[in-house]
Amino acid sequence: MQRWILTICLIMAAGPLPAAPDMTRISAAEFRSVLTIDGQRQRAIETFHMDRGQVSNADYLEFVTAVPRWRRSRAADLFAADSYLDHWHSDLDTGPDQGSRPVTHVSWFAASAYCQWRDARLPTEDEWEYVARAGMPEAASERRQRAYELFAWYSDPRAENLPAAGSGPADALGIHDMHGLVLEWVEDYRSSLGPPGDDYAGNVISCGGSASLAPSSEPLDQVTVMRYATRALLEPTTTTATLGFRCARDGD
Amino acid sequence: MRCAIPVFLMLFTLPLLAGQGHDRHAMQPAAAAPDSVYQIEGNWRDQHGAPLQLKDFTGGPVVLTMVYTGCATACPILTHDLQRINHALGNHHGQPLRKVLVSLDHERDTPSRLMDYARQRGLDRPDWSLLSGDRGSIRELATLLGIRYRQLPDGGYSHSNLIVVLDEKGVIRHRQAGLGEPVDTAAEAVRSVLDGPENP
Repeated sequence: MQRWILTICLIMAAGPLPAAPDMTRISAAEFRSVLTIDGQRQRAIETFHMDRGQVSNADYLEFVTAVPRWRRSRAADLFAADSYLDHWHSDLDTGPDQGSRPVTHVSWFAASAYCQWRDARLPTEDEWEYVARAGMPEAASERRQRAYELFAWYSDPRAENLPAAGSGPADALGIHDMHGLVLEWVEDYRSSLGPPGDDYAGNVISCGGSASLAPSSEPLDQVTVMRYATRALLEPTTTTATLGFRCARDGD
Repeated sequence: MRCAIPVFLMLFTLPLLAGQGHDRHAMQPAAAAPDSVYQIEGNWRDQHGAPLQLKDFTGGPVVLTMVYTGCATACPILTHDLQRINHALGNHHGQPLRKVLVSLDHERDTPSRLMDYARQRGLDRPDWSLLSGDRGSIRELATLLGIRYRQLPDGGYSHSNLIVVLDEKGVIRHRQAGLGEPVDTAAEAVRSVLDGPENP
């Protein structure tokens, strides 16, 4: 009985907050990136908090319910492509069986706005990539096997009948689905690498220092290079069936 | 080009972009200016500490760029380029051109610091707006304008050098990339805004 009362109190206390993926704390760390910036591959991240799972359609529905300008029929062309929330039935109807699945068909602007609504932000590219490494095995043969699995997924990502967000096994940091469910937006995805043909050298003072993807014979590094390159190709208005997001927040 | 990804990598990455449907075009009826960057919201304050929205600039042409006050090299040139555009206009229509500097540095560029900067640089005038914003607002505006930036280990930023000319509704009429470039085209874009749609 007491437990019930406690539960009810907790639910009431949590009332005004939007339902959202739980967050977990990621301690400050350093790691070696495949991206060389100013001759450096070593990156440092500050302690932060990150959603354990990807944002679901049900989570996103709460957002567009509260913030009408982000509903499908109202979102400005400037901020989202025509296929924004294409898989939903209508403005406030995610369609059957969609609720727990990761939300897709969301632009960078939409993902960013959702996280800000939750008083959070998108993870930085470095934060995301650091966490993405946590689930990787150590032994060379297992790493090779994992690389092949990721190659297979990147070559033919699943776009329909996705499993529920957060339903995959947790990695060493307590985070789910960094790989294998849908790709994810990051906050500063074009800050270092631009799309091909981008006149970066002509219009920046120091060209982000000089950024380049480090060649590697390690299959997992090659997969990671693909991921960086793919992100650089995305327009911030892009919406696809295989691209979602999760949120992060500063913290200690 | 060194900072752009190699073209051959596109071959590998394309499958990841699958599922971009283009079959639904039932969007809202066209708003007054669907391309207006003033649709963006955000938390902004000017050099006087007054909160504002970008849409408050509605009504006249604007030249805008993104800089930070700790920047000793590119940013003063960008600021000067805004002045050059202004000078190139002469006394066209007698209206002062609105010049907007948006800071990239949400940590250090407070309104009071922007005010100091304005005083040092002779920008402490009503036709200059120096904006400070929060991290998300700055990233969102930069992304919308196509300005890329990244914080450097020393706390500075590397960033695109881009000036945009906005019309009276906040629609981008011209983008000028680079530093100290000729400003004729930008000034012409401002003039066409001032002349209105009847005399393009």
